[in-house]
Amino acid sequence: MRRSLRWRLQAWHAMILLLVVAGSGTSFYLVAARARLDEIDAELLSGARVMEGVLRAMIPPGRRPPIPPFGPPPFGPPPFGPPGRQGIRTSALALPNSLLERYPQHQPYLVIRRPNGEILRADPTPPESPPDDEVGPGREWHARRRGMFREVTLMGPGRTQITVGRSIVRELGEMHRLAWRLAIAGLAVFSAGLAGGWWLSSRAVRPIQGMSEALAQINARRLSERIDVEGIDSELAGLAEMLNEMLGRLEISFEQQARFTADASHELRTPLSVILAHIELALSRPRSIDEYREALTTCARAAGRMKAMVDDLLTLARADVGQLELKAEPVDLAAIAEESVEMLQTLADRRGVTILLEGDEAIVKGDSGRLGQVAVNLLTNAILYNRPGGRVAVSTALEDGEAVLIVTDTGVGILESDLPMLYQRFYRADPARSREHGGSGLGLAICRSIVEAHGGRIEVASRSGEGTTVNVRLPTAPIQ
Amino acid sequence: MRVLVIEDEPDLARGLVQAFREAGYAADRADDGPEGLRKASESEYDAVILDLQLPGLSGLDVLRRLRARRKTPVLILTARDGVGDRVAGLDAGADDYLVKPFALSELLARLRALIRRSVGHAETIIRIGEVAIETATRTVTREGAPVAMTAREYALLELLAHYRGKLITRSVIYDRLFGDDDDTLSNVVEVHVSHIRKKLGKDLIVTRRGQGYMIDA
Repeated sequence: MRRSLRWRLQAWHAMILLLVVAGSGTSFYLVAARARLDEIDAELLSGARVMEGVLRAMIPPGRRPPIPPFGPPPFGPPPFGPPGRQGIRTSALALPNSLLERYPQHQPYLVIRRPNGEILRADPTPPESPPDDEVGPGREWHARRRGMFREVTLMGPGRTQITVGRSIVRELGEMHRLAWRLAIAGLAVFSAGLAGGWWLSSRAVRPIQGMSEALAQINARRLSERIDVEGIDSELAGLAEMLNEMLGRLEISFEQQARFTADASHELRTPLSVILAHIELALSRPRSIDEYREALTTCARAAGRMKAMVDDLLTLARADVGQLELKAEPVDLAAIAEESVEMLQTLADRRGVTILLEGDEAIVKGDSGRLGQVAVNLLTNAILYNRPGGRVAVSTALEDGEAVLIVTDTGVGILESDLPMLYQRFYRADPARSREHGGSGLGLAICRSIVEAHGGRIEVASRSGEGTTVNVRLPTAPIQ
Repeated sequence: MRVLVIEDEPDLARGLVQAFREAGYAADRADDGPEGLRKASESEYDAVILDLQLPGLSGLDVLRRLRARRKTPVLILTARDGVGDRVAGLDAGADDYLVKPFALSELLARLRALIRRSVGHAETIIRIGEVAIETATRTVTREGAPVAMTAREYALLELLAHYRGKLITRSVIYDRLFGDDDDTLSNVVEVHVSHIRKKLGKDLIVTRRGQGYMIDA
C-alpha cells in the first residue's frame, strides 16, 4: 500500500512536535532544578561563610596553617588559637541560627575538618561518612550532593574545611512533582498539536484530493474537461493550471493522433477497396485471361500504393521516436540533386516542365538514401504542382557553413494560410490535384523528419500564383 | 436502371462501373465533384454512388446542391467511417452510407434496395399476372417456370414493372437503360420489347403509339 502524503506529513509533524515538547520540557526542568540547587548552594555557602567568620575570629591572624595535628576534641590540645591561650571552645562552633531557623526540618548539619581530614566539629553528626574529596586547588568552595543531602564545603582558615549541608528531600520531591507536571502538560500540548496538525494536513491535502478526483474523471475520451481552479490556494492553483495546460496539450496531441490515424486508415482504405472490388468482380463470373490480367494489374497498382504509404508511415513513425537509422557518410548534395533530376526527367518531360540544375559541391555528413528521398520528394512536388511549360530550378551551395539545397518552381504556389499546415501529415493544399498525382500527403512531413534528423531545417516560401521555393539547410559539421 | 458513379479514384470507379454494367445497369462515371453534380442534375438517374472526398467540390456539397434539384437516391461510398461523418452524410440528404472497403455484393444489394424503395416497393418480387420478376436475383418466371432473358430485356422489363401503371416515354427508356457510353443505335427499344412479348406474352407491355410503353397496373 502506498503511504499517504497526509500520514507522512502527520508522522513528521508528530516527530518534530515530540522533539520540541520533550526538549523544551526537559530544558525547563533542568534549568529549574539548577536554579533551585544554586539557591540551596548559596544558602549553604552563606552558612559556611558565617562559620568561616567564627573560625577566623578564633584563630589569630599570625597562626595560619599548618595546624598541627591534634587529637579529636575535646581531649586534644587546643587546635586553634594562639599559644598560651585556652583551646578553642569547639562548642562555640555551632550551626548558625540563620540556618537552623530557616530550615529546622531540613536536618542541617555542620562539619569542620582539620586539613588532615580529622573532624574538628560535627554538629550534629553528618548523615554519612566523611567526604573523600577535598576542595580542589584554586577553588574556594564546592558543592555536592550526597544522597538526599546537599552540602557545601568551604576552605576555611588554616586550611580547615567547613562543610554545611542539609537534606533536600523536599526539594527533590518538588522537582519530582514538577517533572510530572511538565510531562503531563507536554503530553497535552503534544496531543493538541497532533490534532491541530491532522486538521491542517487534511486542509492542505483536501484540494489535492479534489484535484486527483477531478483528474480521475478525465480520460482519453473526456480530455476536454479541466480542473476547477476556483477556490484553490495560489500554489496549488498554479499546479492545477499547469495540469490544465498539460491537459490542453494532451488533448491537442490526442486529436492530432486521432486525426492522423483516421487519415492513415482512410488513405489505406481507398486502395484496399480497389483491390477487394476488383477481386470480387473478377471472381463473380468466368473471365477471359485478359480480363484476369487486367484485374491483377489493377490490384497490383493499388497494392503498390498501399506499400508506398505503409513505408512512408513507417519512416515517419521511426522518425517520431528518433529511430530513423541514418548513415553518416560524406554526401554531396549536388550529386544527389543531379541523380534526382535524372530520375524525374521523364516525369518532367511528360508534364512539359523544364528542370534547371546548377550549383557547387556541398558536402554534408548524412544518409545519401534518405537525402535522396528528400530531393526526389521536393522535386516531384515542384514538377507536379507546376504549370505546363513551367520551370523548376534546383541549386546547391555552401552558405554560412551550411549546405543548402534550393528547389524553386513556377507553379501555382501555396496560399499563405496553408503554409503552416504543409507539414501536417496527409495535408493537401489541393486535394483535387493530389489524388491524380498519387501523393499520399506525407511527402513534406517525411522530408522534414529526415532533414531534422540530420540536424538541419527546411523552409518553404511561396506566393500564390508565382511559385514556391523550398530551402533545405544542413549543417556541414558531422552529425553526432 | 441507370446509375452514376462519382468517384475520383480511377481504378475504383472503373471497377464499379464494370460491376454495375455486369449487373444490368447502365452506369456512368464522374471523376470530380463539379462533373458529378452536372451529370446527376442533367440526367435522370435511378441512383447515384457518391464518394465524399472529391476534387473541386466535396461530396457533401455535391449532395446538398443536387438535393435542391432532384430526389435521386444517393448512396455515399466513402472511407470515412466516423459516426459524425455518417450522420452528416445522411442528414445532407443521402439515402444510404457504405464505408470502404466494402463487399461488391453488399453494394449491389443496397443499390437494389435503394431503387426499389425510391419507387415505393418493399417487396423484392414484382408480380404482374402470371409473370414474376425477382429483382434480387434478376430472374423472371412465367407460371413458375424460369424464362431466360438478356440483360437489356430484363432491364427494360424491370423499368416498366417498377413504374407500372405509368407511361414510360422512349426518351426515358433510352435515358435509363443506356449509359453515356452506350451505342444507342444497336439498342433499338422496339426490338427488346418484341423479344419480351415473345417470351412473356403479347399483352404484358402496352404500346402507346408515338409516346412510349407501359405495363398496366
